[in-house]
Amino acid sequence: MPKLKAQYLKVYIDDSALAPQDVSADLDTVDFPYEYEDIDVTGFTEGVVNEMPGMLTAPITFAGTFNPASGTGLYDVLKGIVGVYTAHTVTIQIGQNAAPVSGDPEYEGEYWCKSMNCSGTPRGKLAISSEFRPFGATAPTFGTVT
Amino acid sequence: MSKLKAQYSGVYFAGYDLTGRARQYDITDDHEEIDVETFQELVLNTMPGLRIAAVDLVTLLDPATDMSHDALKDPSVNWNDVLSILFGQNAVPVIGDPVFNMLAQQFTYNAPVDVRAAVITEVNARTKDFNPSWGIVLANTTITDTTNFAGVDQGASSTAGAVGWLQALGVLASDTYVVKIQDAPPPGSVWSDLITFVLDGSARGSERLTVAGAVDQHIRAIATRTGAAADSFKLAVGFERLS
Repeated sequence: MPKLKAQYLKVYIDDSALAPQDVSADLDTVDFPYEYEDIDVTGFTEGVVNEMPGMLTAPITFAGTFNPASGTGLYDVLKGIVGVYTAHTVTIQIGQNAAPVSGDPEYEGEYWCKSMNCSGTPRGKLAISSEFRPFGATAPTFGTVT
Repeated sequence: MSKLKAQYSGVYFAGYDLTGRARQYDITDDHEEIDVETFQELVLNTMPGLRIAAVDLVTLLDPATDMSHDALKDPSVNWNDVLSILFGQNAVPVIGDPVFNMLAQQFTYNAPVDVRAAVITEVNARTKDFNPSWGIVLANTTITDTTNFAGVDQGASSTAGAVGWLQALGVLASDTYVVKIQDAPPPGSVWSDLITFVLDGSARGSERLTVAGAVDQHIRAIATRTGAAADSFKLAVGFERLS
């Protein structure tokens, strides 16, 4: 399968009872960088700046539409976990131009919810955005849908 | 109910209804991060630190009495007042709808005037002393007599107390009201007082009160009138069950 459109992304976030909730339909942006900090190890007499990979950083940022549906809406899920320092599983499944199936790429890790921000204008949707940070010492990973 | 547009939001601050003059709000509910990574761990990891809550508001500048300019022109007056943003579920906010409440300090009142635009003001307000609240609306209307508002079944009782918020959005000529939040066990017919607000409509204002301990499953607001003038009393009541 060559190039993929993002339409078929599926996102699950553990709610306050640690039950995964499918919040895909309430999201329109997901940003999940997988980056290593760089450590400058350039020394005297060397011909080029050179760096080593440091620690992995793996934040996630979600943005979407405020949905207060009890138990499943994005607002209701985030309200129950923002600022709570326990491991919540976040799973991002990447469907290959169709709904995700077994074998499709998947990103998953244990996170805590750092923020829940809302904004509105008279002519727009009620927008909600949220940031997550890795919980604990185990790095999130890219795997496949099972 | 699913996705919401912002068109039906309500904005109240310090007893002033800014809904008809507000054009944008940005609510920040965030936490500082505390680095806790150690050697040989595989990923940078952090813990939540102090909570950060703030609201940025853009309003049209209306200099008429009791409108947006009167409400916001002197930030030092609004250093201990409730800012409420009600989220109507694609209709005017009603009982049961989500609401954000914050005991706020107003820090700015800026007017970036542009010759080709309406006169707007930018307000920044930050939380004072207490956590903000994501709760539900128990009242958002104008009354002229004693009113027992519809109850909300929140599905279960709790034991960690609750917080109540009142916006008294006007000044009554002669009547006064006692506004309360009450709770009841199922089926929601035998009500007990939970929170009794001090504001009675004789002055414009806002109020935050808390209650500790057990809170029953059903919640409602009531407003009991003293007097017979049938003055119009506009109010909004918010509630959050704590956990």
